[in-house]
Amino acid sequence: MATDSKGSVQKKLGTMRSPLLNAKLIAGLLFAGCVAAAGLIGPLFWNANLSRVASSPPNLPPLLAGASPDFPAPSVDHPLGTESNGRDMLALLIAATPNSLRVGLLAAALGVGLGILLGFTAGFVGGWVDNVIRVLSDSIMTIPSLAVLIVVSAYVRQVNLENMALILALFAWPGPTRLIRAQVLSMRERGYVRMAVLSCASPFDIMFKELMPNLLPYLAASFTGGVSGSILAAAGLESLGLGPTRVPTLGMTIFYAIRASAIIRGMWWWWGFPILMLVLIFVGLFLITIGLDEIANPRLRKAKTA
Amino acid sequence: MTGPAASNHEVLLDIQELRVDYETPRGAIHACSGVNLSVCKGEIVGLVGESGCGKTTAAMSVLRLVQPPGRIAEGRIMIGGTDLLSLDEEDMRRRRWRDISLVPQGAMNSLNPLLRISAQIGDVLRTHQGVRSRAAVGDRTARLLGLVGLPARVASLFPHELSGGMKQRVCIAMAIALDPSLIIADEPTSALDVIVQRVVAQTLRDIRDRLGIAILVITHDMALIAQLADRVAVMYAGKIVESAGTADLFAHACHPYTRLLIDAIPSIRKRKPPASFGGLMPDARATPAGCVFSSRCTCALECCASSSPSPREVAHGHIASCHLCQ
Amino acid sequence: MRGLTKEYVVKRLGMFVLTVWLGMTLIFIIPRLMPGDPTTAMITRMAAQAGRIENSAELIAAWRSHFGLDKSLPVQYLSFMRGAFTMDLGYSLAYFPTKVTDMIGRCIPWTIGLLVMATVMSFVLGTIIGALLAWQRTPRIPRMLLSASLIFTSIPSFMMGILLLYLFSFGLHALPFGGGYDRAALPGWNGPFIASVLQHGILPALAIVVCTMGHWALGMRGMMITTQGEDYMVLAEAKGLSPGRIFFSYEMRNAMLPQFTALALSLGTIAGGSVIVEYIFTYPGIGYLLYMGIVNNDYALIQGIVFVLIVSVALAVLIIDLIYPCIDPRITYQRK
Repeated sequence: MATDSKGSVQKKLGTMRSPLLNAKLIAGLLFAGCVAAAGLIGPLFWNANLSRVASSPPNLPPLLAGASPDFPAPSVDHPLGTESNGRDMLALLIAATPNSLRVGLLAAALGVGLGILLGFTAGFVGGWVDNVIRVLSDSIMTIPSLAVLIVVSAYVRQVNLENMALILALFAWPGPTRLIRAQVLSMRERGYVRMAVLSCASPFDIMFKELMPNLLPYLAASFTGGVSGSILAAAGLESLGLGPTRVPTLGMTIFYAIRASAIIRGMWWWWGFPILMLVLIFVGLFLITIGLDEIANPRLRKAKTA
Repeated sequence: MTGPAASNHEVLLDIQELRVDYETPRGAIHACSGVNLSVCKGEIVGLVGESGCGKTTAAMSVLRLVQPPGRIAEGRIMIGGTDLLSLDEEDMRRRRWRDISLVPQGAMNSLNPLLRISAQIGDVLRTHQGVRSRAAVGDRTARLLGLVGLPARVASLFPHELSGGMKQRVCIAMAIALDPSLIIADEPTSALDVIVQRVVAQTLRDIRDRLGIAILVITHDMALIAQLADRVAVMYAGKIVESAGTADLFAHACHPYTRLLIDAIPSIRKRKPPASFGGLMPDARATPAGCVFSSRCTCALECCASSSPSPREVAHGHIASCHLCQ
Repeated sequence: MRGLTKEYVVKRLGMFVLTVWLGMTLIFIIPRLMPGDPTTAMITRMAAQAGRIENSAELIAAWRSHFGLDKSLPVQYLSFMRGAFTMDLGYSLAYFPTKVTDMIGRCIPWTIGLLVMATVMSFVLGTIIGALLAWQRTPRIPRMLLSASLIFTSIPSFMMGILLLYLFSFGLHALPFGGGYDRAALPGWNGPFIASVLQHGILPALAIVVCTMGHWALGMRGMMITTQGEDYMVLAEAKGLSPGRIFFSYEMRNAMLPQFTALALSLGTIAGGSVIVEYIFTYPGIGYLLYMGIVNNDYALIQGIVFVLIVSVALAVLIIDLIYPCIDPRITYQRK
């Protein structure tokens, strides 16, 4: 219903400071920031070598659990407890978190990068190029990515982080592509883009000066969504035992825990803390994504106050 | 204020001192600042003005459909002795469409894309009159469509299967379904080609002539008003600046803004450069001290910037708010 | 059926075939692009588990020729695709001579039961929650509770499964630890068996529903809000229709359409997630079978299961695509 003049008023209102100070966005950044900090700064405060096998007394519960008849007494040296192979949980978390994050960031960066390229091309060029890209991305989205990943990882056991990220990116690009293509298609018909075309601006100029600034919130939301999805896929694969064995990751820790029947044995700290870390990451990214969504679509903001 | 044009007509709708604000983080935008407008039974009144002057807001206020962040701040809207603004939500809902109906701006998107026309017209019949049987709904729908010149088979179609003009006429048919006393037609001919515009205008006229329904036409098209309306009210920056009978207005417009609007109509007889006048409407957040039009007025006097002119009757049935029109 | 033109059906079928073909090709190509030779790796692993293997060179040669790995890549590809199309998924490597199709056939009913039920419940619940969140007349407290429940979306379903297992099984001893049914119960349509099936199915289903519900809720909420801004909503209100009628016939119906599209697009992810949930709960479905295949290096089984997964998801999407024109009357008329 907004005519162009009303639309521009809305755009002006949208660039005011208040939308960026979205509560969800800030909360999400805090969560994600804490997790990233744990990984980056952690080694400065805690000995990361304790994440190696047999570096600590095994099966210690965390400090807050208190003494129990089944396990040795907790110790201050290992505040989060240790697991059956003698690894200290705190050190393990500190060492594993950056690895888990890295896979996600890499895969999402590749996926969104490819998505931007293909989405712009499809939306802007149109014609058969658009058809091919659209059909391809719809197909890949339908294929259960985890199943394919399982097959691939099952074949090649020694998957290292970078290869895993590459494969995850292969399934991460259709989502951003669809999103960006849809946005480009709708923006292409807007007045300001047509003006740019009429004034003989080059396609690159149009892409970067006219379309890109308005797409930024969508791109950012795509990226965080992609990171979340990739970390999840990686964690899922690792929990099945298909992850890298030479470096510690949160998912593999869960795998070892399940394999050692940690659930029945009541060693909740073994699988509990990695899950907590992962959940923090996901919640943080989730909040960032919906925060960015609300910035991109001002109507979502209004709905809360109605 | 639009005084009684013909004294034997009774007043149907009387908007008194309507003020509507839109709350924004940067301050309230005064979309309507003291609008006074009345429509008599069986009359076609035109409300003209440029984009953003507040005419749609005023019309929507009658149905209490102003969306947040808009807010009706002050005023009374009298119909049949009742102030609509004082009714509670449920009472208002019952009166909607039964007493006053709407032909919306942009009929293209105003019909639910997933429902057939018969269902959309049947909606109001069922809700307000309890008509449930398919046969009854079908009969009424066919008759309504006939009144606007559409074939009965349109009832079983979906909106996307109709042309723009047909959709607009369906909206009109829907609007007369409950035989209301007033129809508010918001830009009924915008986004239509000239031939269809004529058909729609003719349809509205027929409706008034045959069914005696009063129509409040909101538009920026002066030519349409000249054809269709009995009386015209000119709106600028949230205020009514002049109102008169149509013939009277076009012949003896005295407010500078009205004159500019009339001059801007392209003439088929003489070649003249397209008349436009510079400037924009004043910032709707501030309430200017003097006349709202003074910043763009070519005939402005010194007093215009400092004192706001009050509405005065310059001729019988002709009211203007201008220091120059005394 | 209204809206189903021949070319639309043909296009959708084409997508189905393309998707399956693409998936199988990816499964074929990617492992072969990775460094390392699968057979040698497999032999090495078997050797590590079983002690020294005599005549490993001849064994490797025999495996290779049996599985066609000594032929050129295009030939391998063709025989791979032929096998897939004729539904001849071969024999299981670990449980030779059991056919892969038999093993899958035994496990599919469990997966369908759990997955389909959980997905339907999650979709329906999530959509309703999303619609309520967007409806302005929802009172405050339920609205806040519902918003809070969305947090669970961030937790992957298998992690929720672990938590639920720990809480209810280990902690409270209220629900069984795993498996599809009680070993003591006799399979068949009898009361105790059905009861134990339900009892074993609660936790996995709960894990899936709680964690996927939020996705639908958020989507529906977004769609409802977009719909609320449409012009026909203003007219609907102007018509003085009852709030209920506006909510259901005008808002929800229009918002549901993209929801179905979203459902079709996420079936692939749902299928993947369920694999891990079954693994956690040792639920005797396809997912658990896949895990056993991984553990036993049973490549034939793995390939077969993934093929079935790809085909089922593509089929479900095809069905949704074919139903779509019947609920959205605009589809036939859309220009391509």
